[in-house]
Amino acid sequence: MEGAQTNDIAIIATGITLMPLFSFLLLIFFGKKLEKKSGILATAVLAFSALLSLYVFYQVWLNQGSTLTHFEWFSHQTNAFVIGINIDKLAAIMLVVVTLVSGLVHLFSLVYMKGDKNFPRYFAYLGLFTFSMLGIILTNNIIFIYIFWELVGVSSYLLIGFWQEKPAALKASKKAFLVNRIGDAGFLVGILSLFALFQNTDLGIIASKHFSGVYAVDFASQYLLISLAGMGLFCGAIGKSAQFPLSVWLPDAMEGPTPVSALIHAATMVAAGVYMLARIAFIFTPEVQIVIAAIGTITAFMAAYAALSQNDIKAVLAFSTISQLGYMVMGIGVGTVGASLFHLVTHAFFKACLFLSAGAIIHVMHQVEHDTKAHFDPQDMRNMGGLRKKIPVVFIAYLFSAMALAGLPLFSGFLSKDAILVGAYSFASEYGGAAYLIPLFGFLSALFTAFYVGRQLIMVFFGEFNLEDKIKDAGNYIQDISWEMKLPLVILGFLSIGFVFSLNPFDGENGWLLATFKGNLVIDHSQKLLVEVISASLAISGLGLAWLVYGNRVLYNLKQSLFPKSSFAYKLSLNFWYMDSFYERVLVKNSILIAEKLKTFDLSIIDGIVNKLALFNVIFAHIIAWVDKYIVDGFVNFMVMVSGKTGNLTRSFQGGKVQSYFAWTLFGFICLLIYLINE
Amino acid sequence: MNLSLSDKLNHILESISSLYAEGWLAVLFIALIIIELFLTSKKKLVLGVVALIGLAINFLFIQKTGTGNEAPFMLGLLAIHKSSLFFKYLFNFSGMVVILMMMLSGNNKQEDFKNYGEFYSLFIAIILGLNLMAMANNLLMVYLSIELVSITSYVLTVFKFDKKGAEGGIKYLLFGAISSGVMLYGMSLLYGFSGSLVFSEIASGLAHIPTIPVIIALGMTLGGLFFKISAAPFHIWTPDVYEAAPTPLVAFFSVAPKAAGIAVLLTFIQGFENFVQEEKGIIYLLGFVAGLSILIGNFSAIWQKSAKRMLAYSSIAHSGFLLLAIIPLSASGYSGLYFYLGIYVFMNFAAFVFIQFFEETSGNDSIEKMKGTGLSFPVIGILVVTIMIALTGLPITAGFTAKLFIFSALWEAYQNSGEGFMLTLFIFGLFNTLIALFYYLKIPFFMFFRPNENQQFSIQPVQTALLVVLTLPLIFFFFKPDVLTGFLNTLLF
Repeated sequence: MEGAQTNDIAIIATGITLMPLFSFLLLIFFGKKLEKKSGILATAVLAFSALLSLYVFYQVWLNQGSTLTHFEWFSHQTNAFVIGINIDKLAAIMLVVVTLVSGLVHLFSLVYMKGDKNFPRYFAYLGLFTFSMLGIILTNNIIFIYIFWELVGVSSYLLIGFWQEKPAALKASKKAFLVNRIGDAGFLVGILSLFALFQNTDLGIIASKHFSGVYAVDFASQYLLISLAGMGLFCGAIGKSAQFPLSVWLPDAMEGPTPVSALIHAATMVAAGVYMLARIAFIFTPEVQIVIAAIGTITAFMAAYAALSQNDIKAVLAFSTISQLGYMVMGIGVGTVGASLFHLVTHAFFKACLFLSAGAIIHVMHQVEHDTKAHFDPQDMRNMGGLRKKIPVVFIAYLFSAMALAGLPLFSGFLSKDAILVGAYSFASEYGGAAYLIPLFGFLSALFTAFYVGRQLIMVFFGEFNLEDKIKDAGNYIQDISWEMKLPLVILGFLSIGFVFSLNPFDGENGWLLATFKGNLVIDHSQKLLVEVISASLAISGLGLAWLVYGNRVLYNLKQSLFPKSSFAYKLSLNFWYMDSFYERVLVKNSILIAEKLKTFDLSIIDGIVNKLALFNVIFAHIIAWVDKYIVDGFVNFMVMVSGKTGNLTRSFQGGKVQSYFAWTLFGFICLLIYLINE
Repeated sequence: MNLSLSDKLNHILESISSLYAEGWLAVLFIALIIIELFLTSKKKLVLGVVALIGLAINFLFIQKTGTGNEAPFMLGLLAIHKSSLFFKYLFNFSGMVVILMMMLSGNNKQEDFKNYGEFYSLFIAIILGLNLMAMANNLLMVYLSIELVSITSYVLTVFKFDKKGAEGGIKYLLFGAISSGVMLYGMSLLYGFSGSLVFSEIASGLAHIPTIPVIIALGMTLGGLFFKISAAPFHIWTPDVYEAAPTPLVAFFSVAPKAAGIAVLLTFIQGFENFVQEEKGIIYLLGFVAGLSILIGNFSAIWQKSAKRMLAYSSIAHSGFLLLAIIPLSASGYSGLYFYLGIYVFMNFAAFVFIQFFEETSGNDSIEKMKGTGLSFPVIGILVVTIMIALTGLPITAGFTAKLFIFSALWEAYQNSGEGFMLTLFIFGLFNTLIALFYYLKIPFFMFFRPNENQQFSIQPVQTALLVVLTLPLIFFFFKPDVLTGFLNTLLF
C-alpha cells in the first residue's frame, strides 16, 4: 500500500517534469501554427503541473510520502549505474517553487510579450528551461544533474539572447554562456573526483559510502580527492550562482525579457548552484567550507555595495540577487544548510515578485514611451517616481517583497536571512579571530541591502513623476495593468509575508520549513536573540537612512558631498568593483595575445610537422608502390614468363595469372614454414 | 571404437537427435529443387520466400539441438562444441540477410541470378556445409565439410553467367583445389604421425614425434583454413572472386565461410591446446599470418577504385584481426573474437547492402561514382558514414568496442607472458587501424565532399529499411555492449 503510493508519486513527479518538455516540443514544431494560442497552451500546461506539484508537496510533507525510485542505467563490470528519482521534502518544495514561479511567469508573459514576433518560441524556451530545472531537482545521479545543469545553461543562453536584434543581448548571452563554462569545467573535475573516490555517480550511494568510509582510492589520496571534489563542485556553483569571481555575467543577463530575469536569473536557475551544494554538502571538508563561506561573504558584500548606486531598475535587482545568493552560499559554508535552503525558497518568491513588479513598471513606462512618442530609457529609475498612486497593486506587491528583501521583521526574508546570520555568527564564535569577518560583512551587507531597497522604493513609487519634467503631462498616459499581470504579483507578494513560513514572526527556526531542514543543528538562543536584534535594527536603520537621503532629502546633500559622482567609492559601486574591465584588460586581451602567438606557432611548427609527416607518408607510399611494381609484380611477371613458356592454358585466364597466384602463395607459405622451423 | 554393426547403427540413430538443424537444411535443399520444377520462370521469387521461412524455422531447430556438451557423435565425426551454437546462429542469420538482399534487389532482368532456382538450393547447401564445419571433430569431417562449402561456392560464383563470373569461378576453383591439396597433405602427415583422425586422439598421438615435422604438418593443415578465411598468403583469390560473384553472395562469402573457418581453427587450436602452449611455433605462424593479412589487406585497399574490391581487401585485413584475437589463447581473447564476429556480420552486410543497391541503379560499384549521393540522400549518407566508421573501428560504433576487446586481450596476454611478440602485434594492429581510416573514409568523402554529377542512384524505402536495421545495432552495441556480451555468454559458456 505504502509502496504503491510512493511509486505513484514518482510517476506523477516524472509527469510534472516531462510536461514542460512536451510544451517545448509542441511549440518548437507547431508554434507558428498555434500563434497566440501557444502562450495560453504553455501557461495551461504549467498551471497543471503546478497543481500536480502541490499535490506531491502535500503527499510528501503531510503524508510522509518521500520516495526514491531507482532504475538501472547501465552496468560496467560489477558496478551498476543507476538513475534515481528522488522526491524528498526538499525536492517537493523545490518542485512547488519552480512550477509555481514558472507558471506565474508564463501568465505574466502572456501580456508582457504580447505582439512579439517570436511569441511561440519564447514560450517554447520557457518550457525547455522548466523541464531542465525540474530535472536538476529530481535526479539523484550527479551526471544527470550535470546534463540538466547544462540544459538550463542552454535555455538561459537562448532566453538572454531572445531579442536577437539587440547586439547587447547577444553579447550578454555569449558572456553568460562562456563564464558559466569556466565554472562547469570545475564541476566536471568535481564529478570525476567523486567517481574516482566512489566508483559511482549516484548521490545516495556516494553518501552512504562516504559515511561508512569506503573509498576506492588509497588512504593517502583520499583527503586530497575529497577536497578536490568539494572544490570542483563548488566551482560549478560559483558559475551558475554568479559568485565572486564569476559574478559578471548576471548583471548583463538582464538584457533578456524581464519575466525571464524573474524566473531564471532570480528565482530558480541561479539558485540551482545553492541547491546542488546543499545536496552534496556532506562531502565538504572544513577547508572547503571556509572557502565557500568566504566566497559567499565576499559576493554578498560586493554585490550589495554595487547595488547602492545603480539607476537601472533591473540592475539594482540583479546585484541584489547576486548578493542574496552570496548569503545562501555563505550559509552553506558556515554549515547551516537548512537556513540556506530556507532563504532559497523565500528569496525565490520575493525576488520573483520584485522582478515581475519591475517588469510591470517597465511595461507601463514602455506604454508611456509609445503613447507620447518620446524617447527615454523606460528602465531608468530617475524617470520614475510617484507611481504608487497610478499602479497601486504593483506598489503593494513591491512593498511586501521589498520589505522581505530588506529583512524587516514580519516578512519572510527576515526569518531566512536571520537564520543564515545566526549560523555565521555561531560559526565565527566557534573559530574566533578572522572568522568574525564573515558575520561582520554579513551585517554590513544587510545594512546596504535595506538602504538600496529603500532607495529604489522611494525613487520609483514616492515623490513626483519625474518624467513630467521632460515630457509634459506624461503622468496622464500611465495606464493600470491587466489582471494577468496583477495575479502573479498578488500571489508572490502574499508569499513574501513571514506568517506563511512561520507563525511566530520572530522565530523562523520553529516554522514548518526550517524546522524540517535544519536537522539536528543546535542553535544558541542568546546568540540568536543578539543577531535578530542587530539585523532588525540594521534593516530599520538602512530603510530610515534611505528615507533621509532620498525621501525627505534631509541628508541628500551630505551624501552628495561625501560620495560625489567623481569619487572613487561611487565609481567602484557603479562599475561593480571594475571586475569587467579587469577581466577585459587582464584576461581577454592577454588571451587574445596568446591565441595569436599560438596561431603563428601552429601555422609554422605544428602544420610544418604535419606536412613533413604527410610528405614522408607519400614518399613511403611511393616506395611501397615501387616495391609492388618492380619486385612483387616483377616476380609475378617472371612467373608469367616461365609459365608462358610451358604454354598451357595461358591465354584463357588473364594471361596465366592463376599459376602465378599459386606460385606466390606457396612461396610465401614455404617461407613462413622455413622461418618457423629455424626459429 | 570397436563396436558391433548393430551398436554402430544404434549410435548413428541416436546421433540424429543432435542433427535436427542439419536434417532440416537437407530437407529444405531437396524441397527447393522440387518446388523449382513446378514454377514458371517468372515466379522464382516464391523460392526466396520458401528459403526465408525455412531458415527462420531452422532457428528453432538450432535452439533445440544446441547444448555444448562436447560429446562426440556420429562415430566421433562430429561434436557440438561450446561455440557451435553461436556459429550456427550466425550462419543462419547471414543466410536470411542474403536471401533478403536477393529478394529486395531491384534488378529483375530475365538473366538475373535470382531467377535461377538452383541458386537458392545451392545456397542452402552452403549453410549446411558451414554448420558441419562448426561441428567437425575429425580431420575427415573438416575436409568434407570444407569441400561441401567450397564446391558450392565455386558454382555460385559464376551465377552472373558472364565472362567475368566464369573467370572468377575458375580461379576460385583452381585456387581452392591447391589449398585443399596443401591441407590434405598436412592432414595425411598428421594421420601418419598419430594414427588417428580425431582431434583429441591426434593430440595425444603426437606426443612422441619431434616438433619440426609436427609444426610443418599442422601448418599445412592450417593452410586450407587460411584459404577459407582469405588470410595471407592464401588471400589472392579474394578480390577477383568478390568482383565476379553476385553481390549478396559476396556479402555472404565475406562473413559466413570466414566465421566457419575461424570455428574450425578454434576447435583445432583448442584440441591441440597443450602442444600449442608449449611449442610457440603455431602461435608465431598465426601471428605472422595475421600481421601479413592486415598489412596486405590495408595497403592494397588504399589503391582500389571499385568498392567491392576495396571491401575484399578490407575483409582480408579483418581476417587478420580475427586471428589476432586467437593468439592470446585466453578467455578474454575468445570472447573478444565472438563479439568481433557478431559485429562484423552487421557491418559487413550493411556495407554490401549499400553497394548492391548502389550498383544496381548506377551500373557499377566505382567509389568515384558515389559523388554527392550523401547530399541528395542524407539518410543513406549518414548510415554509410556510420558503417564505414564501424569498419574502421572508431567510436561511436560497436566496431570500436570490438577492436577494443581484441586489443585489450592482446595487451593482457603481453602483460602476462611478457612476450615482445604480442606487443609488436598490438602496436602493429593499432597503427593499421589508422591506415584503415584512409580507404574506408574515401566513400563518405566522395559522398559528401564531391559535387553531384548526373546522379543515377535511387533507393527504395524497403531497401533503406534493411540498411537501417543492419546499421542501428552498430550504434546500439556501442552504448550497450553488455547486451551482446550477455547474449554471447548464455550461448557460449
